[in-house]
Amino acid sequence: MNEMTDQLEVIGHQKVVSIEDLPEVVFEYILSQLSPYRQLIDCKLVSKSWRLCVIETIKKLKRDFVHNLSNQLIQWSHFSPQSGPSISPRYSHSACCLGDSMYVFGGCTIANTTFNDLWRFDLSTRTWIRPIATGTFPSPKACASLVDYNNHLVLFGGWTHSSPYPIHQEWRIFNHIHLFDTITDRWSLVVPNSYCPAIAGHSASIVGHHMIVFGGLQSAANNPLPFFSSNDIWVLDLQDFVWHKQSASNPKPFARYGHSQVVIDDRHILIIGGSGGPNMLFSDIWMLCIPEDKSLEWVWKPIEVMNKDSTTAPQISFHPTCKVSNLLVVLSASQKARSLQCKDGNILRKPSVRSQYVSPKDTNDKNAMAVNTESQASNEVPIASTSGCSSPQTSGAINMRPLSRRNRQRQLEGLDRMEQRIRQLKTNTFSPLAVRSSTVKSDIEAPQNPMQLFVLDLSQVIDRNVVKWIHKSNFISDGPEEVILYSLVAGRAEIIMFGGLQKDKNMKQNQTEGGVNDIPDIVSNHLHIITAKKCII
Amino acid sequence: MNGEYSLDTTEGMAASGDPPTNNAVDDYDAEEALERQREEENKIKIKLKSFEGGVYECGLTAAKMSVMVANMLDALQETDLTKIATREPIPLQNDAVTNKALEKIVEWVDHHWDDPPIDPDFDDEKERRNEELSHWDKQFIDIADQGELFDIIAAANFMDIKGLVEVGAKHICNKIKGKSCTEVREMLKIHNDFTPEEEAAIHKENEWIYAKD
Repeated sequence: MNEMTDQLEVIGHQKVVSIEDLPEVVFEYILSQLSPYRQLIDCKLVSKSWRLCVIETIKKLKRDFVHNLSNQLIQWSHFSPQSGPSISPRYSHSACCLGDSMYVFGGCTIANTTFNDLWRFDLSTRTWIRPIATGTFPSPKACASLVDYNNHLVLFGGWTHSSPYPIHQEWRIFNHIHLFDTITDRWSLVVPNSYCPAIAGHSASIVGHHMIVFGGLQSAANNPLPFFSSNDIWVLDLQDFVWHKQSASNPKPFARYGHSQVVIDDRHILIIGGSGGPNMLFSDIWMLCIPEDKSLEWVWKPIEVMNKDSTTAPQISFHPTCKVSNLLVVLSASQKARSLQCKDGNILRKPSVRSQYVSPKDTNDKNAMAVNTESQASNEVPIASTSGCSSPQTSGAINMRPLSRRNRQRQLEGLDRMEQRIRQLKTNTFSPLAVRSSTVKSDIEAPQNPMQLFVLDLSQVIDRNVVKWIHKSNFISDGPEEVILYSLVAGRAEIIMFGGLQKDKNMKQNQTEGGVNDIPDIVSNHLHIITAKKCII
Repeated sequence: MNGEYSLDTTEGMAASGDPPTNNAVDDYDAEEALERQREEENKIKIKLKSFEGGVYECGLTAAKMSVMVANMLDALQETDLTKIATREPIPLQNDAVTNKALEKIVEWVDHHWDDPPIDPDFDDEKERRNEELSHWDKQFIDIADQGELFDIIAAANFMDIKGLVEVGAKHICNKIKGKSCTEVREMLKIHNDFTPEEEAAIHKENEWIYAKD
């Protein structure tokens, strides 16, 4: 660099060209190649013309991303965990994007035990960092909500499974609120000034100074049983930490959990999908309207999906969603197998065969049917078993432990095998040749049913209460293998998917003769990022 | 790499009636034929004239990497390519195309003319995008005089040589990466035209961007 300076002085008589004299398109291109996080934003401070160009570039990045999302011009990048300390595999964790970071808290292991660790994925350097946090840590839990407010993360609710030792512990739902200060890396437990129930599998978002919580599985704060799914709205004032239960007009959405919630603007929130119980999957969408006048009642509006036909509409009940501009993004495996579930009715029922609770001897006859049901509703079952939605009135909750202990050995074996597979998959994904050949069916390493991108147009949701799936034309083969219970958050001109639970389809077939329906699950700690397909200049 | 030779391929197949396994062979032959043609054409030298008047010789295939030059040559509608060599030098009317810049550009296209063509069907742009610059390109573009560097990028942009613009852009991008704004300013000799108040305001604006969005 010194050399550069010297030389500049020597040839001082020549016309001095600066980077700002480059054609605008080239300058913008250079900036757009920078990481859209800290790096690009800091470039605003270089000079006035840089600031303008950075602002233009950011706008363009956003615009291009929205445009490319709606046209399916996207690309996946896959990040397997870095060497050294890294986040362990998990599902049903909580995730939230704040500035340059995606935070991930808690979640479940393969054995249904829960974590209480907090990780930060630095989006500009693409590395996992575990902040050295102090203060009052939350309990290990999954299915909690994590939202950001004023440089803090607000962690609320969630559940934990009983740990295997000592036995006969009951699982429980929390009503704790923890704040994580992202500047000092400090946890604190907030004691609210009023009551709220314990909730898990709910959804939450920040509107102004309020955290709005909808639905979930609820129980009384100090008594885990009975619990029930709810359609209540609870509002926490984040300035004085007072909860209140918000009333809203009829008709209301059915009680549910596992749904997703996005904020459209300060007055409108969308609720998407979810489940009302073991046999009820929802694919409906509701809009919660918050009136300006605080004394008025909040209003629910059912939202009509204009094209629910099977080719364009994905299964939305248990898939997390995220909003980019006026688009709602959902990932789901290809829809051929699922089209049946998207029928007009909002409530989807499946035969209530719960083979999990049937002893091996009895299953021989039912086996075929049970497995079929499982494969059709593979979305539903793991949730049922992990978030404890098998209603407590049946003996489900009690039966779960012995079963999972008996299967532990097999699960571990399955995990081993999966690890090998993932390793193979990893090498595969990064070799361009292998990616190209992934269309060849015999290539078993390639995802058999890669996640596809589905985009819902929300531009008319407020005015006309309708939404529309944007027609999907191309099949994208470089997506990750289908998983569920992952997290999906929007970063800057990208969407980040992390973790989740995967059903190994090969093993499913192999083990059907084995009797019991103990398909090994695979838990992921892979990170997948969707960005716009970038064109070369 | 398919589109251009599809005609040859289908003919070959129809004639021989062979199963599509031969397809690859034909493809390969066609590819080779085209490569030979490009090689032959590159032996024809054409002249390019810089804004400052310097004339530089360059292989025809290499020169055609500039979309602008290729269009100009097409416009001549010359069937006998050898005649192009004897023509007047092609003038490049942009003040970025200095002698030095043109010399470097000719060096670049002469090195890259036999790069495999970009296949639009191969939708792995990211492979290309994430690709590090080759060792040769790195040495080529590591130019101490930044006036010259920007001239080359601007000239390459003017002449519409996408590959070279990309090399230049990536090079600058790599230099910016990991640097603070002060370091960027210093490196690129940019005058800070903000008042301290303005700077503080942007800091605040940036903080807001971090927190929000």
